[in-house]
Amino acid sequence: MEFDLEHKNKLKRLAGVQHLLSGKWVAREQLASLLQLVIRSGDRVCLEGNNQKQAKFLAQALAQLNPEQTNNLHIVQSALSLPEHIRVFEKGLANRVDFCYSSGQGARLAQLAASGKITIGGIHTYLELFARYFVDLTPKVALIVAAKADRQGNLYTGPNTEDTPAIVEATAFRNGLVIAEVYEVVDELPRVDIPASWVDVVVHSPLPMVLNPLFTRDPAKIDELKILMAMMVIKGIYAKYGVNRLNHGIGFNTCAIELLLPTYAENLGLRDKICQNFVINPVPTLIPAIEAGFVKTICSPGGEVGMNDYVRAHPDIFFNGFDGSQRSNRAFAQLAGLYAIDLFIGATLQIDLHGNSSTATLERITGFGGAPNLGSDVNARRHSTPCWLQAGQEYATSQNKPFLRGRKLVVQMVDTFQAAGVATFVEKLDAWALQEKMHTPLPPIMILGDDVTHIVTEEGIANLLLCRDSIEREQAIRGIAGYTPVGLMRDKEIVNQLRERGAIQYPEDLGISYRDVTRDLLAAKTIKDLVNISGGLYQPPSSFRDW
Amino acid sequence: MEQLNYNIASTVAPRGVFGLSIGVVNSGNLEILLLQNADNLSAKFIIDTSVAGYSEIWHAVLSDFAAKFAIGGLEFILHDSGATPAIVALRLRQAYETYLIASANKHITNSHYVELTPRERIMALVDESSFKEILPPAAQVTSPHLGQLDLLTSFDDGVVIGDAKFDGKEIAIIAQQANFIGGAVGEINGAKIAGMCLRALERKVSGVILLLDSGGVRLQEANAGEIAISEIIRSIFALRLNNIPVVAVVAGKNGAFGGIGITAACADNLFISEQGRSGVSGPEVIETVMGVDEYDSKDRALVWRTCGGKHRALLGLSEYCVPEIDKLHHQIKDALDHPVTLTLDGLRADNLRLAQLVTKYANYHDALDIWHDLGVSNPEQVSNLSDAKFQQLQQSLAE
Amino acid sequence: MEYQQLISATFGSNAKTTVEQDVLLGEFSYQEQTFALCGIVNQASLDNAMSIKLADFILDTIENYPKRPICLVIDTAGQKVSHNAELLGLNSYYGHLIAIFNLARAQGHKIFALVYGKALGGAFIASALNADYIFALEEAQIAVMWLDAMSRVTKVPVEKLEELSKSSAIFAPGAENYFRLGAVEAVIPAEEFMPRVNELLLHSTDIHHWRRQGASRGGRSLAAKVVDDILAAK
Repeated sequence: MEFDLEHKNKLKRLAGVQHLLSGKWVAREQLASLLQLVIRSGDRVCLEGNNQKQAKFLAQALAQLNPEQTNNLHIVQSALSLPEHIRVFEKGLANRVDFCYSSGQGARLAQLAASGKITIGGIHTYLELFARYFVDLTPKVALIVAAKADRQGNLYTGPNTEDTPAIVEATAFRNGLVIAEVYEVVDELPRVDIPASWVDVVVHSPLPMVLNPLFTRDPAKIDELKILMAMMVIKGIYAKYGVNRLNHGIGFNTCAIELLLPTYAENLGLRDKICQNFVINPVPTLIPAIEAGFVKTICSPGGEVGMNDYVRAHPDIFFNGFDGSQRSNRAFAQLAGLYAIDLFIGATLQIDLHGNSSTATLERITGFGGAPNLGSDVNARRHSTPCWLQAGQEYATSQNKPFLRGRKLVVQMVDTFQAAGVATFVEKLDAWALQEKMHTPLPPIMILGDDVTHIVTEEGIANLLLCRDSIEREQAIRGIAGYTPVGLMRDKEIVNQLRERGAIQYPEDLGISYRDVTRDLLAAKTIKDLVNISGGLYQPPSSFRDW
Repeated sequence: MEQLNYNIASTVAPRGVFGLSIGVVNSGNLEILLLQNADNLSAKFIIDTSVAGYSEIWHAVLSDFAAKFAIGGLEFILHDSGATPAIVALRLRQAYETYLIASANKHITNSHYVELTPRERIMALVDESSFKEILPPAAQVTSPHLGQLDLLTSFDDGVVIGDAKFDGKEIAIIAQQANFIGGAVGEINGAKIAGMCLRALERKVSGVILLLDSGGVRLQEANAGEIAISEIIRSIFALRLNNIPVVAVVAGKNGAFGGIGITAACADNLFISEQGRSGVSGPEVIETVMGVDEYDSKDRALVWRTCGGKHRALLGLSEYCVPEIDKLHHQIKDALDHPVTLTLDGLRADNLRLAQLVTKYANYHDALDIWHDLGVSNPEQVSNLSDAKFQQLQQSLAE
Repeated sequence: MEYQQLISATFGSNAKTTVEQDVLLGEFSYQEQTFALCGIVNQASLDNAMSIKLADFILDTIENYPKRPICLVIDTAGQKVSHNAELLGLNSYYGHLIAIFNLARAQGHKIFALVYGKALGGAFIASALNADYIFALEEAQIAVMWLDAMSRVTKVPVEKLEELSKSSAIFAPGAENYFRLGAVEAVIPAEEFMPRVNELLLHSTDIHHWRRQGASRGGRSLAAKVVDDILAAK
């Protein structure tokens, strides 16, 4: 048997395009010809793109290929987000995809899947997909993106390093070809994030690097209900368990918590007791808490528009290179979020009576991303923290089980209604209907009810760890579901019992008065406040300015 | 649109102040007016809602409210623009608290102008407990024209007017509600502003303060609104010609556009904050008519350096003001003490200045170039300057 | 209607006018009385420079011809909609022009306006609406916004707007509506303008009379009552 066929194949493909290369560089105009030669029908191709940066120039070039010559490609990628990503399937270049989520292209993806033009292998979390790159989904060709390259082809990925190291490592070390687009060519890089020897081809993209401010929320839009919920979370969960290592999801709910740390939490004497170590993108709403000395470290899976100078000026807080800029390796940050945090808190669109939650709607396939990893309890965890132990003890006691391990706190923080008439709490998630429609093996559940420990609404907190059986669990959820149809069906007697045991806590049970719930509690009330508190280091994108 | 009525038993309410309102008619929100109900042992609810078909949920929310609080003898009138039950419950609670603590004239301290409601803006600026609102929410002088179009009305039609004292002197004060139909001027809204100016004229007060926050004419009552704006402008000049100073403040999120942008420019003194904007046509209108190459309304930095307070101040078309209430108070006081008399010579000088601007900058496309020509050494930094630094820059340019 | 046609029909052959950048300036005599004449013509959009031209003319009139009455003729498609106009603060130019109209009135100049073409939006507020008395020709198009555009912005179906406008003068375009609301004295043929002006010259002016006219004509019944209530408030 020969054991170097794949290796030889790679060398042969590279040799076939030498005439188009100068060193590792290919001219923009030659890129399509190069891809046509280097990518073969049936190849597994990774197209880099996530919630932030996109290999857009490479995606455009790939979508230009002739489907009569190149077809049956198997695309593996984190996010289907550009129109080009869909065009690759519409044109018949590719017919199979394994991915994490689709932002913006969910509706077209659903149509393609229904018409049979695309076969969806699996919808993953980031960590799962990265893991499979090393097992059974290793790319033959990886089309990646970096901020800068030097003449030799070393790459600088900088504050938006994100998925690149994981993709390149899997591809380059198993006979795959790594093709990178870069926005800038320099003589000397600030630092080398990917060595040139792991890269086969580089092209200088003519497109601007477009990043979306995905994690930026304007404090002006935080209303009293979100502030009320944030007060309940700080007092009823963070203070109670002494939560120090945590992740916040995207959204106004968790931003409200962040903006209450230097004010409300400070007044409760919680500095140095909670919220010291975050796994989170550099969200601008954390600036006041960082400046107040509340937050000690932040491990980021990605960058955020406008935050680079601020991050650079805080090397004790963020993970920055010797050059001063942020690194943000998503694989490690997700790993940290899976194993080394004691609490995940996030919002969702729907929650059922088991506590399962979903952001799926009927018309589109959205997928997952990082939330399920961050928001899940891990049986493999062996190290202890007081917070983890306390949660585990509560659970073991209510279940009458031996106390063998702790629990990660997994908190859902939601308004009972998304809008007038649109209830967050439902008997049955739309995810089930989506499963039926798309013929997938399982409904797309974002956070499994089994993992959820607390649900917080403007009505109160349901502590599911203290529920002894499924009936109590259901009533605890109904008990904080407000005036949703689900909430109106509560059994008042059981709910009262649960309240007496602390499995349900209303604001008055936590000593929170509605009169104190005002926007004056927010450490920053506007984006401009954030800029001022950052000492001018935070430079918000134009779309968030009102000055 | 749907109207719902409920009478729900409750225990007798403690004494409080009737006729106060809270909230605003704006998407996802509601306003509530609290009046007296003849029956002491029940609460009456009259609800106009833009979202029909949820009478059961309404009943549940109101029943819980009546069970939790002593509200017998109270009548609640609600104008609901699609608020969630959680918001409804919160506003009911706030309305009840307002009734109990009678905060009609509460003193608001140390707050940011943008964060305040129109009534709070007035109460924060004028002498404590001196504000006497005219045609308050309880008068319920609302627009009949909106109803014809199946739109919700507001108890005060989106503007607050009244007499007050400012540093001991009698003044008239007017504040627009930015969140009700964008602060727009209709028949009643406009008549309230014009009428208040005429009242100030009759009473020979020491000044009139206009807290503007509006996109201009309310399209649903376009002609009446446009005429009303002209009537307001006439009244402003009647005041000025009688040596009663008129101070306009544009420091809210809507700015002052259309007819209200023109109205703002008719005051003795026009104050615009960094966040405030003024103009005739708004950015979106210009983009729609002339194309995105002419004016990209989504480029907010561009928008603000085209019509924002800093640019207007550098052009010498308005005074720069700060959003902190106490500082703003000082600036208004100073302006009231220094009215700008309308004279031929004064207007000649204005004419020359404006003519020079248009001659010099007729072909400019970016304020940055104008600022550079005005002697600003680092135009790109202007929008990043703090209020204090910007005021220093203004001073250094003046010298 | 072209402005030349309007001028001869309204003011006769003795009117001396010039038109530059669609701003008409001049004078004419009527029954021994000399009038200053100015206006916006050719459906032009009123921009910053035009506002200054008009302002200059009124200032000259105040300075050189005390109490000379002023006639305004108006045919404007509205405010100049451009980035540069707003960059230079068009509202300040309008405010300035309006101040000058009011100074003129205070110094004894009566101001009469004739809308003979279009009178839209902010340009109407900056011009004709500052007259003591406004007249309109039957073909005059006075509006804030046309109904189809209004429908798009307000999300009210255009059919509904059209239906309502049959009974309500409040929002729909048309000189007749502005008459019913009280701002337009009368809708008249061009020849009738000067006789009406001549009659009004004899009387003193109450410039706050529109709301009463609007109420008595049934087009705008609430404004007058609201103002009266405010004036009467304790």
